[in-house]
Amino acid sequence: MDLIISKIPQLLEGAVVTMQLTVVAVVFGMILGLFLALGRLSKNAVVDKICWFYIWIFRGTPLLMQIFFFYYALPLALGKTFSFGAMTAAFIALSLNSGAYLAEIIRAAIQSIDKGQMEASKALGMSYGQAMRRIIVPQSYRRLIPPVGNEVIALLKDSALVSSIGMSELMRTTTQISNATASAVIYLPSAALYLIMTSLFTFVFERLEKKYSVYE
Amino acid sequence: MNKMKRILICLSALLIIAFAATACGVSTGSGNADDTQKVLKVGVDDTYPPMEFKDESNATVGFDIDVATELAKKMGMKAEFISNDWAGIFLALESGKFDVIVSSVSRNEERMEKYSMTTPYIANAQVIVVPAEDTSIKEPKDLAGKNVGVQIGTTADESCAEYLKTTKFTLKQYDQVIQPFSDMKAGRLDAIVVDEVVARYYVKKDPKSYKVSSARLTNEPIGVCFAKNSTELRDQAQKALDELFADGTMKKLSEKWFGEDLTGNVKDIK
Repeated sequence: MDLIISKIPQLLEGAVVTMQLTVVAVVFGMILGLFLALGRLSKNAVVDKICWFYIWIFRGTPLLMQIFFFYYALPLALGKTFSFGAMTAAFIALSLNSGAYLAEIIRAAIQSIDKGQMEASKALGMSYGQAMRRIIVPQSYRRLIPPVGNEVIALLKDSALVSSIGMSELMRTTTQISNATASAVIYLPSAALYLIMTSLFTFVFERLEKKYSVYE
Repeated sequence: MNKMKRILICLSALLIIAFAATACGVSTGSGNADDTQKVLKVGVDDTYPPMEFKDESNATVGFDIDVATELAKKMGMKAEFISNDWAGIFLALESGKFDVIVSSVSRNEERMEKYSMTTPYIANAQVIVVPAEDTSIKEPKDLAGKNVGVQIGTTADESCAEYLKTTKFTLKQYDQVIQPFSDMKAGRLDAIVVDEVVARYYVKKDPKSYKVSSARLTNEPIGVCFAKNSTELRDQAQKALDELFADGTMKKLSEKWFGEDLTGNVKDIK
């Protein structure tokens, strides 16, 4: 018990890094995902194919491999200017990966809006872009919330993979403590911290869902 | 809906600024260090006590850490430690994440060929750890038919693979050095092949569960590991290392971490 209490500050430091990784990856992933989703829905076949290809690559290969690629392989292939620190490599890999998943979530939400909405907007004289911005995308928000919540929680836990490139987030911090103290008991408070963080996101997404259901 | 959009935009703007600020903070930090003194970036897998690990206050400590700090001092540089998992540590060296690995790198033929290593600075035997009550393993050939654990990619792993050619046993490889110890406690492992200094550290922590058997596989010297093309840096480090031996620093550090001088006889091993 004393051991656990004395290690809490160290674990919290790791949890902060895990939180940073998750938030940055979700924000950049959302922005990227929105453009990819719109690209997939675009009438331009080239744009559609490029976005399809991107999602195919990032959804079809293991995240761990992508992290290794950006950290180890890129500088070997392209020279030392591409030798990012562990933090940057982790941000890039997690953001690009979550972008692919979020793109499919956003696309599904947009496509679930009745076709009549687009037709009605056009009948009112709106362009495709105007209709998307003002009518279709805002209506998809509510339907986005549950699957995005899922993705955020999955991402938070997946961020443990970056411990493999030596980033001291919660997982590696736990391993470091476990190795130094020759005791596995530290995994308990560490699991509790993960649970607290995922609960936080669960709570936020439940509130958001309630708030935006009032429109339907 | 407009309100939500505004909130979202504000939030993302804030996050981007926060991200940019942290990124800037990092770059100015290293920039300042460059101004005063040249930095020697040292790669370590800081999960390997007592060679390199995190202490109570989360500082990186250990025998290798002290050696690297002293080496850098002699070279007129300042050591900066970069944490890396053992599994990718040589790749990270080659891709320029750090200048040198000072992380219990045993000098075997393959590594000496692929990298540029200094002469050994500490002797390191591969010992066999067994459960405290075990009496069946007294020499390496007693491993026959047992479940044997090693950390993956270590020289213990390699010597077991070599030993497997002549003796039959089940080799289990783990990512972390502590994992075979936990597995032995859980009763699934009969023996662990591991660096002597690490074995002693864990056995001392829990003498009721483990003991170091009298069996030894090989006696391996540990060296400082540079990338193949950084010969100039390696030569500087070699000179600094010789000085550390000559002025008694190595002996002092070994006594500090292991309670005895394990560096005195490294020249004979070579």
